[in-house]
Amino acid sequence: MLAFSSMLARSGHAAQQPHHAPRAKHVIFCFMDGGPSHVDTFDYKPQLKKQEGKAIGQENVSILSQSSAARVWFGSPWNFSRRGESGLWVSDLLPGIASIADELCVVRSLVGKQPLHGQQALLMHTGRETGRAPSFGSWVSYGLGSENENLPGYVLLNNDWIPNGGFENFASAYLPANHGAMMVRAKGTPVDNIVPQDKLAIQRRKLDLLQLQDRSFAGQVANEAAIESAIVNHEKAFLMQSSIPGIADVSGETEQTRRLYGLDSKDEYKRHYSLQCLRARRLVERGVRFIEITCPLTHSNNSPWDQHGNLVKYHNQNAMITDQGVTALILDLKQRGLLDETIVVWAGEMGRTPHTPRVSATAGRDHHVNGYSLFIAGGGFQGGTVYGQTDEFGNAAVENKLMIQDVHATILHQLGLDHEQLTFRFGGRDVSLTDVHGHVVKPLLSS
Amino acid sequence: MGLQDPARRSATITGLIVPLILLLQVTVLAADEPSADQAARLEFFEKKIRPVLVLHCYECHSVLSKEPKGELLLDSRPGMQKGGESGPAVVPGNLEKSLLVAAMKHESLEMPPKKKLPAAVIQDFVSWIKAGAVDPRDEPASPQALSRELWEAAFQQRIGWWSLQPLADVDPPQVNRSGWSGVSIDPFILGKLTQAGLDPAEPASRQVLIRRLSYALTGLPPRPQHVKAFVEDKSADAWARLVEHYLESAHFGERWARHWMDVVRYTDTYGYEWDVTAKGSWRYRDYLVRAFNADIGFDQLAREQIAGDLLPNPRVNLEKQLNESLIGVMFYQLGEKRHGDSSSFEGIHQEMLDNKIDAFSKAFQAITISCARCHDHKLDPVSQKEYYALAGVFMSSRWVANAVDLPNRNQALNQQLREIKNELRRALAELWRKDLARNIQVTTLDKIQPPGPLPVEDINHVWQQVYQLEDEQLAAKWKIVASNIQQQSKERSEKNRQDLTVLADFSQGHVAGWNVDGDGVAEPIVAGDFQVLPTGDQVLQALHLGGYLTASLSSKSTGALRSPLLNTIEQPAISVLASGGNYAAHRRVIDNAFLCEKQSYLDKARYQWLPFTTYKNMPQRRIFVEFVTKGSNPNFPPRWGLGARLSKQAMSDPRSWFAVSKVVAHQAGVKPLDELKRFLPLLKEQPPTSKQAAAVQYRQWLLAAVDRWAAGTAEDDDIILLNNLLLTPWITKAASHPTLEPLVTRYRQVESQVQPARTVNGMADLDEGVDYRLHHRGSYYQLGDPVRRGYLRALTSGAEEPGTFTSDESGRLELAERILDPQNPLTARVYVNRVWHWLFGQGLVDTPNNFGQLGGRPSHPELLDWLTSRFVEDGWSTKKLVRRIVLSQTWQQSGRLSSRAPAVDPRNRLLHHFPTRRLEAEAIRDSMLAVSGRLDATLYGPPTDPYRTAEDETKRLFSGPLDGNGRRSLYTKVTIMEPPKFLLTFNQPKPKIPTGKRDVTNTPIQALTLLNDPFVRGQAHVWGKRLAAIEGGDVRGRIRQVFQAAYARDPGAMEILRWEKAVHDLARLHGVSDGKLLASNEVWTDIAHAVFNTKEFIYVR
Repeated sequence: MLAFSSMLARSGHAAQQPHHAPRAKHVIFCFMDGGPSHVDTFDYKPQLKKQEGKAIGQENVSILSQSSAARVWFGSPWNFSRRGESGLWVSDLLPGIASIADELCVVRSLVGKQPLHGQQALLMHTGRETGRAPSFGSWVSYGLGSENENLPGYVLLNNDWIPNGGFENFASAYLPANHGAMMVRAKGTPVDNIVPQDKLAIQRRKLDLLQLQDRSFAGQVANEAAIESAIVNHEKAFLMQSSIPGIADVSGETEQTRRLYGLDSKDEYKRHYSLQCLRARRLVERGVRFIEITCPLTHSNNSPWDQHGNLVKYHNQNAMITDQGVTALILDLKQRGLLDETIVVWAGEMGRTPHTPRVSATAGRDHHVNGYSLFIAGGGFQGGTVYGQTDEFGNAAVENKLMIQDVHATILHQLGLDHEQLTFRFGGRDVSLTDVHGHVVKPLLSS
Repeated sequence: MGLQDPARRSATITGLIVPLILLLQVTVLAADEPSADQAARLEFFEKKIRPVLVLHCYECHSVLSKEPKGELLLDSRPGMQKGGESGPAVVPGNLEKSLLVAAMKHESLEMPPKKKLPAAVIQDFVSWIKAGAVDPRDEPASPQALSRELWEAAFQQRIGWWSLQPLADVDPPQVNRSGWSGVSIDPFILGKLTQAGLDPAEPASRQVLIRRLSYALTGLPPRPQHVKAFVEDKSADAWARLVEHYLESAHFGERWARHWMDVVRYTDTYGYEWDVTAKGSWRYRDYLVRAFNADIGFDQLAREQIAGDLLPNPRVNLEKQLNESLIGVMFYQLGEKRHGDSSSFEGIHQEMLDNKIDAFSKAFQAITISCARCHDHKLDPVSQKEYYALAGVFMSSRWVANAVDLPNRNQALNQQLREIKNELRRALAELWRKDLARNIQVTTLDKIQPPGPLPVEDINHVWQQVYQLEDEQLAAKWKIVASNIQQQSKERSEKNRQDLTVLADFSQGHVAGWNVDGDGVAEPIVAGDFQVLPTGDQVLQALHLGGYLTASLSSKSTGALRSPLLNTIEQPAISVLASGGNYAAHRRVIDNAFLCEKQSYLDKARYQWLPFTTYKNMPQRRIFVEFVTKGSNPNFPPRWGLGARLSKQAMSDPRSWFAVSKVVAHQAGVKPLDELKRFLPLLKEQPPTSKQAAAVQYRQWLLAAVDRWAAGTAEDDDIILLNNLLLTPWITKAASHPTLEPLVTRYRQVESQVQPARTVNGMADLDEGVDYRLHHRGSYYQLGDPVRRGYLRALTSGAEEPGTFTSDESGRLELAERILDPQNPLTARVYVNRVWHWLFGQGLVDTPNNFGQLGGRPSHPELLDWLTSRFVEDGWSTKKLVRRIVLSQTWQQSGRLSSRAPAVDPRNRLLHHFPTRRLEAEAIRDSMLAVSGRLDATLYGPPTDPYRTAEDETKRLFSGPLDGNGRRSLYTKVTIMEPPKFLLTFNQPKPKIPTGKRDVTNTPIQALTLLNDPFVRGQAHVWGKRLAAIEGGDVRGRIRQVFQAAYARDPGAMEILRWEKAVHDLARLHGVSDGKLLASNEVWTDIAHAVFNTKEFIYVR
């Protein structure tokens, strides 16, 4: 075994040099796929209730929103209150997250490109509506390098549902392939092909045979290096077979931790989501740079938070599934002193219209990217604060508008990376995650 | 301070004197005719100075710049001489005061920033200023003129790029080397190697060669018996015959189709949010396989893919009864597609247009035209206008599904069906006459009356009005009823006459401006036609009005009926008299939205007037209405939940039908009225004086309609009447009726043999072409002027303006001509380079999709041109090109390096050895199937779902068998949303955009896949079992067989020992005794599995 580790060291991906002193080392992205409603979570708009049922009028129609003049304002079905010492407004939809309001840095003024899932999901992940570019997680992995030889830099903790835009959301595109997300499933075998199908001794015997055979083959051809690195990959794969299930297996966690995350919930979706949250913490502890957690799809909508109808029923269900896990993750990281070096992002690819065709018990909200919210916790982001503002209806960002690239740039900044300098030569150009956009939003950061 | 420095002062004085003299000269001369000297100075400015200013300065220092940098304008003589914040840029004759020169030298300011111009250019400016800075630009040009000038200068510079030059007429260099042929491509390669002081590698061994060739030409490993035969074949032409053997293999087409599929972004689904099926994609894949096997010239293939629907003489396949050329245009409809249309979400058709432009320009020209969507290309001679000139070409065509069958495919069966149907009609008429005689009686008519009143349109309305009356009262009431209906009929007719404009009456034949496609709408039917139901206990459901009926003979026929563009219709609304079923749909297609969601299913066997708006609120959009069967609907099956939830059966069953009789135009809110004319014959007679007489009158009225139907002279009013009758129990419809049963059975038996229609997504030119409007900065909210349709000026010989097209049509045919014009330097060159890339793993130009300035330069430019000229001479034959290359000594080199080579040419651009390469994803998977013995070598057919661990019904991501039924990877469904995992792991390209060069990654996930993936292990098991079943022999012999199958070679002595030891060790670990070792499934499965994991198995050298 010693021989392999020395070999791994030779071919390893030693951490790259950051551009400036980093504040944080990891990112956990809780992707609220489908678009949770901003006016039902973090953007409190009492006017909506007061004007409920009134037509929004032509002046509130926007191409960044599924809107028409005849649609009517629709008040939030949830109550809002001020939370924590900071007095941040959070609705009752997310009781857990509301309880840690002082950790949250809320942005209420995001503006997207088109009110469509595929485009927005790709924009959020790759900085481009069209995709075909490396994922944010891949850039972070590429920029910082791995802290752990036996784990990838970007892990996707999936819940059996691939968001719109497909796997391209998580792909390395033209960055080296090792920066693409490795998918870890909630149910069943966590990673495809990770469970050895041979008894260990037999697999080892095969690998020894392969080593000898491949070495002699490598000696006979010109591009020995490629063959050598493929040989190394076989040994790395051998080690991953034990390291990855080790992380996925949470049986050694305490009863207190299990309760904190809700691992024993009666609801199966929630159990799995919580499990993924706990795994996220374990991955941070083991040095993985970027971890993304996706939501499960429990109904026949286009995506989990995509409530064109039945807003109350399914937003409640999504909240029930995710709220405790996300809350627990932030608290757990904090208890362990890891929150300071870990940036937790909670965001959908869009918000939802503050209006609807007709107010009813089963009314829903449609696609909206003309001012919506997300929050970031930890990693030097200023807790208990709000940045940016929408109009009195939550219909359009009016102050401190941000693009997702600004958020990317700011997170990269906290990781010690300059978004303009973090580039890769592709197609004859130096390309970056933020392209020609993005700036570091200093007011989001604690001094 | 200058004044205190005598040296400097004198310089200044000198500097002052010279220009004064010059200025005087200029002024004097300018008053007269320009002298030869003056002309020369002007020429100097135009040739040496102006282009530099335009190219390097105007962007920041002209009226084109909103805020000129340093307030300096260099776009006119006064501007230059006035200068900016720091002082005059040019003082004629005075170098010292002309700040421009110092800035160009990067002595003061650094201009242009970052890049210093060549010394010779700066010297030109020095000479020019010294000679008086003659400059004819009295005032700045308008921004428009300036931007034209700017582009013109850039254009002239850019068309000098190597790839845009005509093919050079070159001869191979004279080089001699023993063992090298000295012909074909070899002298070129050898020449460069020699120049670099390098030797080529030794020839590869025969074992290596046959394996290399087999993979290169078919993507499969050679069979051991072929290896043996070739190794033992000592004849001089052994290699040439082997090459022929593989060129003739049917698997050649599969291998080379897949190469081209990378380039055209091949996909079986459209990805995005719902992964909708890409209709007919796999037929296009099969078309490619056939074309490569038949060695159809690449020029023809290009023509078909660009404009196959427009060719006057399409290429037909009589055996398969296909219009091959028409399948080619599926090329445009590959890649990712978004659902919805631009009226709901601006950008839908624009993104799809962009995808077409990108694929077209990269695939055929290796030029990145889509880089000019928002602005003129930054590096290549492609203007933004030209992007929109091409956009107009693709937008002018309609994006539709085309029926690709030859017209007479089911001719014989159809003839039989027609005959049986005629018999059926006679039999039905005979039965119905008897039925009416028996059933139209007072008692039966009375019995059917419902309690509530019947509408005037109902067949029994008249009877209902009178049947409760005494005979003496009847005539009077009848008269009232008759006059009422007559009056209503007159009023309704009059209202219709006033309100409606008949746009199309298909009962009178086809109507110009309307487009039909498919065997189901080859010609309109005559009123009274009917569908014989293919199953069930009824013969028929209804009779049809005159017009189009797709299912006159079989509901497996397909059909599309497409309206003219709605903005050619004056009125704000139209109504279409139609019926249909089995998910036939009507669709309102806005701006070519391909997966448009404005579609509704037809589910009524009875005709109804369907209203449509003509979208007067958006006259700029190109909108049409189409009626389509499932097959002709490019968005069927649509995304989950659109319109209706579809069962798997509903998605795959080809049956579907619609009928359209008439189209009328009218004001909004108007509905065509039933004119009730069918009742007039009943009412025109004297009123009956008794119920008995009334019943007779009723019967005769109906009988007359049946008679006319039987005679084939029925009119639409008869048909409506008879359809009404068909809803009553009075006439026979039962298929089991003894008279009808034999006919129906025969009909159904023949109909079951009818081949379902085949359709493929594509393009159709139905309208006058339209020029597309330029989008400022690429934004579809900032529209500029329309740009005349055309192609790149840089690739159009002799064109001054962008190579505009003259035809009224889309221009795709002209586009194909431009692409294949002998003067176009790119098409053949780009393709030849691709073929080289596919055979060597590295092109002569190593960026096969980009021959522009961001692409690479050719390693052997003369060779590329020589080979391209031969290729064109050879009729664009792929096989001849492949043969020419693989027969060369260059291609037959071994993969071994000479010790000097890496230092001189580390990337092997000079080809001092044959590059060892990892196999492509498909070849890895196919090799496992081939070696294990599981391979099903069948060609063609619908794709197999990839194996998945989780299915998603809403995206139709279904799982297929683990081993894909043993079919080659070519037949695994390419699903964009969740690509086939095994193939993706080994870099099968994602089909959103064209791939010229595949990634070859090296990841631990690949190793995990080879170690633990159930497919790999499954194939190891299949092979292991086969090995264990071999009778007799010994371990060493078995190992030899394993090597021959997997590596096409014998093991060396060391290898025998190595593997023999492994066999014994594994047997021990499994607890298998020596005696049972040869027959042990476990042991030989392990050995097979180990072989699959070796690098040699997945590399070719």
